Amino acid sequence: MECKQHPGGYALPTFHGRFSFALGLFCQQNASRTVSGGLDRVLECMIQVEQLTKRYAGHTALRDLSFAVQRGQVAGFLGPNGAGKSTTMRIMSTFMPATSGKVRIAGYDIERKPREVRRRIGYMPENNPLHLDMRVEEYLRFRAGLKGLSGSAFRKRVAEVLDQCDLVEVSRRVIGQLSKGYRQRVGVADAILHRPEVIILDEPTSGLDPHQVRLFRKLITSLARAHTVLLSTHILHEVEILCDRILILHAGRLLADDTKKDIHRRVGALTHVLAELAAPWEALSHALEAMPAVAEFRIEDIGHGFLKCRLTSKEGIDLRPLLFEEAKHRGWALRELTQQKPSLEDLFVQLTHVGRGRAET
Amino acid sequence: MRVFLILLKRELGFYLSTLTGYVILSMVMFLVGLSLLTVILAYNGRAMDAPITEAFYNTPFFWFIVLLACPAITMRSFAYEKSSGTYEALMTTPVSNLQVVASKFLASWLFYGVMWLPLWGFMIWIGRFFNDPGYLDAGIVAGTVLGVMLVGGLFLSLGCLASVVTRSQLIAAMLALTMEMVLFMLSFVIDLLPDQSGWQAAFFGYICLFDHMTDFVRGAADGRFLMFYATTTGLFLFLTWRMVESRK
Repeated sequence: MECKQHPGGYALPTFHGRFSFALGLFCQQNASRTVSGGLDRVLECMIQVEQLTKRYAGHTALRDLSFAVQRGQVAGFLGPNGAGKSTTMRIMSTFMPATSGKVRIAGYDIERKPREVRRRIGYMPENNPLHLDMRVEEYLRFRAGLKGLSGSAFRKRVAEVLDQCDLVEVSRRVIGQLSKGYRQRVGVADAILHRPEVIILDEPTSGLDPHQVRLFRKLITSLARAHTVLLSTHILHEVEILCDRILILHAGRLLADDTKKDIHRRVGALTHVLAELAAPWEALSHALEAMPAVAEFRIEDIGHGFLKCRLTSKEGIDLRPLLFEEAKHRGWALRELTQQKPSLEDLFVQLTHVGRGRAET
Repeated sequence: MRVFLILLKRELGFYLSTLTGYVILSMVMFLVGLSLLTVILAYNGRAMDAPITEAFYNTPFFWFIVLLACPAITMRSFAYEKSSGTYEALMTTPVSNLQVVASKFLASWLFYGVMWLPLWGFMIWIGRFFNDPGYLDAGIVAGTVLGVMLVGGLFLSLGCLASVVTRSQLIAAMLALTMEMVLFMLSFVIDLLPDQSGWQAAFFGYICLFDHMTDFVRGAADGRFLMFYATTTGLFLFLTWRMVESRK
């Protein structure tokens, strides 16, 4: 499916071919109805990036990047440092111009209508820069003013956001004296102040302790109901939990544009189960071969009558209960049974390998 | 306009909520105090042949204050925001580049105006001891204020330009000081010219900051000089705005 841009300033996803043209014309005539309409609104394309390229002197940060994110989706940019996540977000937030390519946010072209785009995005840059000398409420009021909020709605909205981000108790504190977790919340509060349609968060959980990360994920999940969210991270587990869509970037290229299901499949295919059993080699080998869920296995003798086996499953099936049942049924002693999830590096190795394989064929 | 006022308030607030602002104010107050002392020691009991404003201007502290305070005021305007990352947060809100440049310049100019308040206070105080009110009439004070503000405006616009091209406050200050010194030194070129009647002499006379200030402190505001300050300040602010526009 691709997203078609409506000239009136918003986009609709259509299927390939002539149908998209026909639907485009229909939309032009029924602009207001379509925007407020049910299914069309749900599928409305909020972020549309086409062949985005960014070159610095002697270095290409992004190459022909194309993707689209629909209204209400939580999309995650996954990639190591230097993959181009922040560059893409900076371009999308109108802070930096692209070398070539097109970006539309909520239907507005970032080059032609940068201020319209800025009104519709809430952006939290990398490292969450804040005015450390200001108090939390004072800062949010300052930012609300810059974002065009005024009148009675102004105070009400600041109070709402303080409450939503759990900042009421620190609203009079100077930002520079707050913990990193609170500062991140101030950053998100700032991003959602003007009720933007699209929220862009650049590494929102970096540097937080596990407890703060959990609270922060909860906050992002609550935002997903009313906004389209694009966040970046280099933690695989995070996108698995938070995102409906996962965009994997590596060296400025889009390696994969996956749904949650796809990424589960990918992760499942790379997940291994390690087990240590006191079993005869031949019997264990036959038993594993007979298990239909096992894609491949490797057995190693680790002495003292124990064998260590490393299993990979098909379709991401969890092999641990199956192996436990087998050991119980045959009376084998089982002293270790663990699951090893793949790291981001493993996923990249797989993706780049697949990419190369395709290119060669 | 509302957004501009919000930005202006924030910029002014930053000067008054950080140590930098108070250090600048204290140093200037100290130097203005020294100039007062110099004036009192020089003219105590003697007849003056020039307005009191000129007496203050002729002390070595005036240019010292202007040349050093302006880079100190503007060094943080863009460079600090860039290094702390708040520039990115600012430039992704629906503010225009012009609003950002204008608010930063105007805030620095207002702060510069506040910085000179002790001088006006000292002048009014010392003026009470003169028998002849001609030494400190409204025209002379207005001319001096205008001159001080125009020279300051020019140097501050240079400072803004220096601050927008770098992320380092130190480099911004050094760059601004260098550019100001070049402009200041050009005032001496006219004295080195062998032919004082040629177009070169006319040109360097036109850009001679010394001559401008001498006129201003005597209460004279030459239209050509006003045009000089308006165009040069406008030019440097335009270049600053273009630099903001062309971020890559």
